Amino acid sequence: MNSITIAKLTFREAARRKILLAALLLGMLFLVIYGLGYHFIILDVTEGFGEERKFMINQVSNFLLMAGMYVVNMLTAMMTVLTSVDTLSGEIQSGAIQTVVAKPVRRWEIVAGKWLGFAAMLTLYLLFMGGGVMAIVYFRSNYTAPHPLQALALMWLNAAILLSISLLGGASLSTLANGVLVFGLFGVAFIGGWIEQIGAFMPDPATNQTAMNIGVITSLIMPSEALWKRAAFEIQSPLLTAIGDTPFTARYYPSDVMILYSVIYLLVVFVLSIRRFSQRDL
Amino acid sequence: MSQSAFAIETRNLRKVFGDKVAVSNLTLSVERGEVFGFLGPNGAGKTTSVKMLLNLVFPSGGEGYLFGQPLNDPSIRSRVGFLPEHFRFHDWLRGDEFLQLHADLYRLPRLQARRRIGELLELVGLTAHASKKLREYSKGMLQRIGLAQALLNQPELVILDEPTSGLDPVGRRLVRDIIRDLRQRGVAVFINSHLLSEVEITCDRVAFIKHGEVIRVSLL
Ligand SMILES: Nc1ncnc2c1ncn2[C@@H]1O[C@H](COP(=O)(O)OP(=O)(O)O)[C@@H](O)[C@H]1O
Ligand SMILES: [Mg+2]
Repeated sequence: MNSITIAKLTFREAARRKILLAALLLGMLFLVIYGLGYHFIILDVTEGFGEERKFMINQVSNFLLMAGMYVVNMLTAMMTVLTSVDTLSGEIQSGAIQTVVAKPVRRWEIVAGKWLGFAAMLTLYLLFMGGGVMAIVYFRSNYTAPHPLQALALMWLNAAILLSISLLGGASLSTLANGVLVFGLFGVAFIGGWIEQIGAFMPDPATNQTAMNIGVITSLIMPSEALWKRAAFEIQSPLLTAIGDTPFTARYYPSDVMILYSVIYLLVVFVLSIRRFSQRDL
Repeated sequence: MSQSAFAIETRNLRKVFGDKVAVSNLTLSVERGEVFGFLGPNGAGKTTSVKMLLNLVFPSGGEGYLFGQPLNDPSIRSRVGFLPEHFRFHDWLRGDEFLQLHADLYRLPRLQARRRIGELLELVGLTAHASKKLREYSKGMLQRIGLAQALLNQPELVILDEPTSGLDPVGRRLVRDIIRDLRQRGVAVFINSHLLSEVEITCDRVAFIKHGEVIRVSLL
C-alpha cells in the first residue's frame, strides 16, 4: 500500500519534471526518423530486385529491425539509469526522505515503491519504442521477427537489472558515484561482449578461448550485453542464425542458463538495495 | 493503545559516527501531554537524538521507546508527527499535494485527509497558497507547511527540530501558538532548540544537553 503511494509519487515526479515528456518526444522523433529511413530503404529494395524480392525485403527488414531494437535497448537502458540514479541518494542528501521515513512506513516499502514506479515507466517506454519499431516494420512490409515478445522481455530484464543496480548504488553512494558505478558496469559488459565477439573471428583457438572467457566473466559481472545478444538472437532471421555472425549477435548466443542467472542477479541486487537502505542512517 | 505513561523514554541511548561521538549517553523520559525542551548548543547531538527516536538513525547502544513501543516498530510512528531541522521536501509538489502525500503515508482515509488538510492549511495560513509549488514557497512558508505535515495524523507526540529557525517574528508567534494549542489538547511536544529564550516561553520542562549528554533537567 505504501509502496503504491511511493510508486505514484515517483511517476508523478518524472511527469512533473518533464522527464516523461522529453523521453516521449525524443522517442517519437526516433520513430519518425527510423520509419522514414526504413520506408526509403524498402522502396529501394522493392525496385531493385525481381524474383527474390520478398526474400530480400525480409532480410533487409530483419536487419533493420535488429538495428532499431539495438537503439531502443540502449535508449531504454539510458532512460532507466538517468531517471533513477539520484532518486535515493538525492532525497537522502536533501533530507526530503526524512519526513517520509518518519511515517508509519517500512524502509523496504520505499525502495520497492520506487522500483515499481520506475519499472512501470521503463515498461511503458520499452513497449512504446520497441513496439513502435516492430509496428513500423510490420505495417510497411508485413514482416514480423521470429520471437518479438521474448526479445522485449529480455530487454526489459536488462533495464530492470540496471534499475536495481541504480537503486542499490543510490542507497549506498552519492549520485555521482552511483552514475559512475552503473555506467561503468554497463561499459564493462559492453566491452566484454565485443571482445568475445571479435575474438571469435581470431584464427588462433587459444585467443578464441580467452576472448570467450572474458565475455563470460563480464556477463557474470553484468549480464546486460548478454541479454541483448540473446534478445537479438530471438529476433534474427533463420538465415542469419544459419550464417552465424551479424553486427548485433555473437556466434555463440547466451543460453537459458544465462537468462536464469540474470533473473537471480536481478533479485539479489533488489534485495541488497532494500537491505542497504534499511540499515543505513539517514 | 499502549499503557506506558511516557511518550518518550530512553535509556543510555548512544550514537557514534566513526570515532565521533554524537550522542554519548541519553537517558530521559517525556510524559504524555508534556511540552519538553531539548536545549543545547549546535553540535550537542540534538538532531541525532531525535533521529534515533524516529528510526532515521540507528543507535550504537542503549534503548528507547515511544509510548512503550520500541523505536524500530513502524506502527508507533502513526501516533507521531515530525518536523525535521532542514525542511527540504519534494519541492515539485504543490502545497496541497504535499500534504496529501503525507496523509497517504499516514494512511488517512481520503475524506478525512481532505478535511484535515483544509483545516491545517487554514491553521498555518497557507490556504491561499495551497496550489503553488513548494519550490515557490519562502523559507517561512516551507516551515509552516512542514508543521502542517507534522499534524496531519492528529499525533499524540510532535517532535520539532529547531522549529523557529529562519522564521520571522510572525512565524515564531504562530509556532508558539500552535504548541500552546497542542498542549491544551494533551499532545506531547518535544522541541529541539539552541535558544533558551524559545524553550523558556513554551516548555514545561527542559533538558540541557552538551556533548551528547544531558547535563540537567529542570522545570520551568
Ligand atoms: N552523519 C553524521 N556523520 C558524522 N558525524 C555526524 C553525523 N551527524 C551528526 N554528526 C556529528 O554529531 C554531532 C552532533 O550533531 P547534531 O546531532 O546534528 O547536533 P545538533 O542538532 O545538536 O546541532 C556533531 O558534531 C555532528 O558533526
Ligand atoms: Mg540540529
